[in-house]
Amino acid sequence: MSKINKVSLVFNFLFKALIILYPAIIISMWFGLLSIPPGYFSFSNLPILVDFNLLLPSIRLEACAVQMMSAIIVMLEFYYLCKLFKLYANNIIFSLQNMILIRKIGYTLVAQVLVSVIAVQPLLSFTLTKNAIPGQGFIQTGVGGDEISNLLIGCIVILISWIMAEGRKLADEQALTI
Amino acid sequence: MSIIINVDVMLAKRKMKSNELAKLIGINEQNLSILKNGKAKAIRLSTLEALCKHLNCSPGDILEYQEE
Repeated sequence: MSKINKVSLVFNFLFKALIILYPAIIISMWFGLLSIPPGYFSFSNLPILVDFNLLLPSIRLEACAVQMMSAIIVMLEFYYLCKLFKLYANNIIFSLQNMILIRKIGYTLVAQVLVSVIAVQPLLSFTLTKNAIPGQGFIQTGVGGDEISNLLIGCIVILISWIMAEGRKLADEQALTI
Repeated sequence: MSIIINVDVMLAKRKMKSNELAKLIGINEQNLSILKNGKAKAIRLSTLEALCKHLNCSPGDILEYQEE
């Protein structure tokens, strides 16, 4: 077994585990089994202070459901990575399947940012603040360094998949040049 | 494709076998088969030259244009 096969098998296993672990960690954090690390939320500058320890179980459930929206995209990304490394482990490196999976990974990275900015951040900030002052809730969203870097990485991954697809076409033509 | 490769016709005319020609022009039988079946996307001038040399013909005998 070559080095690339071994490493790919390890990554395949890692991403399989992450598909299960990632939502489990999010659920554990919202239900107090794991502490929420400081600075975990990008909207830490809400006009009111949210004490995560005092959140009602119903609010925690809602917040968890909201965060699962972006978690589903991340899990999809792990699923594609898992499939990609399975192909690498089977010595399928420059096939059309690889290109399609790499492109899908790029799209999920971009979608993750869009869903976070458009839906998760506003909904999460509203969910966490709606009961802080009766009758008032705050909606906050923003594009930070994480979002910009994820967006850039997503775009670069999509671009690389296009380049690889062109490379594959050239390789196919080369193979049929006698 | 509208370019027809008449290697099999020339092989029959020269009473030569495919494997024999493949050996002479330095390509494997699989590639010669791709050429004969019209699946090739391109043909190198060096391959064409070798084909002409060993089949004792000119490029026009091997390549033919047919309107689709």
